[in-house]
Amino acid sequence: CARLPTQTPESALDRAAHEQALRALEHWRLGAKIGVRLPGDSGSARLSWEQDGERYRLSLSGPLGQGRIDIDGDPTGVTLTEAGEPPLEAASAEQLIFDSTGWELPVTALRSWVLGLTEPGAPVAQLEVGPLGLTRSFQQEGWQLRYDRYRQVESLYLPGLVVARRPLTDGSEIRLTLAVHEWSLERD
Amino acid sequence: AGEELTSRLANLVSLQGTFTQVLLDDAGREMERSSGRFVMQKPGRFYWETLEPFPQQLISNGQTIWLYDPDLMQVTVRQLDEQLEKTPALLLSRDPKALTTAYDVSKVKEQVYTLTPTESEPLFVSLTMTFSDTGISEVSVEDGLGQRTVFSLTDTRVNLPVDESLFHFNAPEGVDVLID
Repeated sequence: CARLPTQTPESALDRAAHEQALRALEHWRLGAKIGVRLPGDSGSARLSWEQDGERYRLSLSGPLGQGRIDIDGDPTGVTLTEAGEPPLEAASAEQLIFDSTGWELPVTALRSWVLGLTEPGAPVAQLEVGPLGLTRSFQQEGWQLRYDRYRQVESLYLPGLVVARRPLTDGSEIRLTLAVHEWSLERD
Repeated sequence: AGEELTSRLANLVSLQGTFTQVLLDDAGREMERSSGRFVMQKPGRFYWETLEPFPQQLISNGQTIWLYDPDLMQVTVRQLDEQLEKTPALLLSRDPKALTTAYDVSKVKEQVYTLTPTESEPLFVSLTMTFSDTGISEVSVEDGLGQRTVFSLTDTRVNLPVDESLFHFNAPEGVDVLID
């Protein structure tokens, strides 16, 4: 099957400088596929996510472009639009996504995780760094993050395949798999 | 127009070719694009493989539907249900008479028909199907937000014999099979 290109730096990168550059990113856009595995419900959707400072737009759509959901957010609030449904408003994206899809997506934390960064201001456990200075895994806010693949985007290395799992009390787990197919850092 | 469409679809036993799928926003700007190949055969069997920008296979044998994502190493298995029946890909492989009861059909011009769902909670607002001498050349689906998904079908061939195994999916080693 189509193997995603793995691009890693030839020699170990300066991790602190690399992380600082990632944290300084004001504008980025990704095109990905997100797989969700929940007890009793699983599926996959196409995800596009554009972040511009504090404003963001997430779009989720199923195969053949069905069931498209657009989520627009900024510090004042979040709106979800879906064809055939009245727009939904909420204070947080987490609540909005749960109300409309039943999926628990840690959107605020994902904003850092998707860049390969831990979320600022929250404790991190079991941070593992690969030989080339790229994050391999860590635990944060009850989630276990694992970075299986990276892609080179301009001078940075951004995740290509991320798996996030959250064990649940009944022994089952929530698992999100994000396969990123396209990164863009310019403002178009 | 309904009978015309029904008869056109009736002699369409199978259709295969390549597709480009483009999502246009309400101002007609392109937001997303994907492409791949497809095979459809009555009743209810189809194979829809997206190649760009990501790999994905949507396969149905008429009862079960598989959504295989090699990049996620995951396949979701569902039984074909009422809701899924309405997706454009299935429209072509469904029995034509069912179409004219579920949709109002109007003839836009030669070879072009528009279907408008008659039921209350439709999956789409309207679907326009353009025929060509080698089958169907375009299907355009409009949702309630003015966004349109346009499937352009190219090098299409009609009623060729189809390898049945195409409509059954066997999960490769190491792929998570998620039964819904």
